[in-house]
Amino acid sequence: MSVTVEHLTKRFAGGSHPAAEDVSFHAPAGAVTALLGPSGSGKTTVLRAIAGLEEADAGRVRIGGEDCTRVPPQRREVGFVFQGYALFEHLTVRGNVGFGLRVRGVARKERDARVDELLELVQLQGYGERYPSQLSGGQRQRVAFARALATRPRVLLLDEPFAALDTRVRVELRAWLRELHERTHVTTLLVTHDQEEALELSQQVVVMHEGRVRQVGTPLDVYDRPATPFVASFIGNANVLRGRVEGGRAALGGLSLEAPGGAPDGARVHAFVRPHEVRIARAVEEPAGVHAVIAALTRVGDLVKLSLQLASRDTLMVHMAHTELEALGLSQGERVSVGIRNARLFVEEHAG
Amino acid sequence: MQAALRSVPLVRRGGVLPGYGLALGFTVLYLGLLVLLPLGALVLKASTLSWEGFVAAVTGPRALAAYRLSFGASLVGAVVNAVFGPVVAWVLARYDFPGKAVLDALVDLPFALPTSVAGIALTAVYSQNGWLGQHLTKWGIQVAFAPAGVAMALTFVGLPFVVRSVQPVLEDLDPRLEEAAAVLGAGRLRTVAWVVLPALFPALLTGFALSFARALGEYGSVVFISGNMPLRTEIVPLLIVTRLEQYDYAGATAIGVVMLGASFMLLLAINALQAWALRGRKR
Repeated sequence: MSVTVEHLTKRFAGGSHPAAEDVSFHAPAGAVTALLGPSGSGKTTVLRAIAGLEEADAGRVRIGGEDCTRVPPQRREVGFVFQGYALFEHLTVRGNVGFGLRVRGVARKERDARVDELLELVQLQGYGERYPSQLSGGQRQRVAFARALATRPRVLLLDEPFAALDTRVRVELRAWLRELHERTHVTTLLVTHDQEEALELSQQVVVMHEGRVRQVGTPLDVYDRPATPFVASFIGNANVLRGRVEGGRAALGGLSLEAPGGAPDGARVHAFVRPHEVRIARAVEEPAGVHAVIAALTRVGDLVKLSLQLASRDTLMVHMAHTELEALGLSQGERVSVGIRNARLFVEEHAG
Repeated sequence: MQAALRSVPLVRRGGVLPGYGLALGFTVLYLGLLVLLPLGALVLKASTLSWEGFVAAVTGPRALAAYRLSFGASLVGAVVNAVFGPVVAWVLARYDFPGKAVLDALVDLPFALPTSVAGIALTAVYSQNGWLGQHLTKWGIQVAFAPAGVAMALTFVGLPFVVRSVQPVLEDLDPRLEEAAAVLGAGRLRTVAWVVLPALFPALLTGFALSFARALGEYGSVVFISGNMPLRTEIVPLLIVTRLEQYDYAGATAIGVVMLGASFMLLLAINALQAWALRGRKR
């Protein structure tokens, strides 16, 4: 079932700015929507408001079209996976997964069957009689998923579900969650500060910053066409170059790019350039181009990270495949010619 | 040089702080001197009685009545504390209100107050012309100089044990557990019964055991409010003192040995129950 948040505002006592301010978005049914933002951006507050764990100061929450702003969490029929699992330590895995069913008065036999079904879904068959403390972090997280899904919730809410796990388990569980979603198709909202997680798992991304929604779009949208400088700098790595518009083109540290539409001459602009959108060639082959010096060169697996020093003293980070660099035959200290394949330019606000 | 270096083990077994042998040896010696030696002397003194003499000393009607009152009233006190102590702990752990620090300190008063003072105060309030007792008397309820008064005094001395056992556990209890229960559909009562209480249970048992044990040994507060009538309101510690005053040292220690054995068995049983409650949980 879809989730719609309308003009949600929540202010905590003592907070300088609202935790969430005029937040609106629509999470379509059956899809994964990621709420992405740095810590303190209000994404968890929004998720908790959808679950009914936080009462909004203003605005509405609709689940499947039904206004449930004033409905207590017990009757919202949502599943919530907490950061750090929040499993009931005194209950076995079976007891944890069956908790919601027990609350609903489901008969023992039926409950056991449903719990078995879920343990299979989360690949924990045979772990039913264990206690949470006897499980690994990844297993505990899967129990939390099973517990949330047992009552067939209308919506699954995930609060930084993988934050407490180490990288390898996190990547594994991400693949597992994709698969899980393909099998259940339950509408899912995923709160995360990890852009990779958001871009990989979701069909829609809501980027939040300082309590406000900055952009809503597909993962490709927010990556390729960031709506604001914040989104451009937060999602993916980006070089920031500053300059001015001159004769319809933006001059940025020796580089020239097409100016954003409607920007007058003299307007200050800054450009966000992804490290893999920089093209380099040997300087001797393009004597007329913009030149730079390779100041540093780090190899990370099959990826090479270059740090280029432009004549304007700007630094440009460049990522390229190791094989590509080998083909060019470049090493540290050499002069290269630089070209920008793609960049996103913003006219700076005059206020600043 | 290299050989000398190699002879020093780089990794010590049992963690970075050594001294298992030393610490255990000290513990055994300390407990031996402080606890086992006097208790051994107690048993030794009691063994100067013949078996028949011992049985007669510990199963006389006066002794049996005293056991009944001591264990009964201590149990009542510990149960009352186990019910209301968590409520006090809940309020102290969960809410902020003016005067909280005062309330928090009040809980510890039974620890600090000489218990005889508490006994005198309770007697003043509950005796027939005390300002609560005179009203209760009209309803036919007698507290002072009755078993009810003994239970009252023992509840008083045991309260801090339950509160102070439960309070830190409540403070550490992850509020997300309650939220998880709520999202899963559990109302307040069920959340308390199925999530909060089971989490508190081991600590509650500890508090109950401490409160009960403290009540069994309590003397000062009870002697004032009980009236010390043999067969009716005489507790075991008082009976022991009475025997001592009659120079019946062996008889006094015989009753002491019975109390010792019974208390030890009870505490052991409570510990076993606690181990069961903590099954599967990390500690």
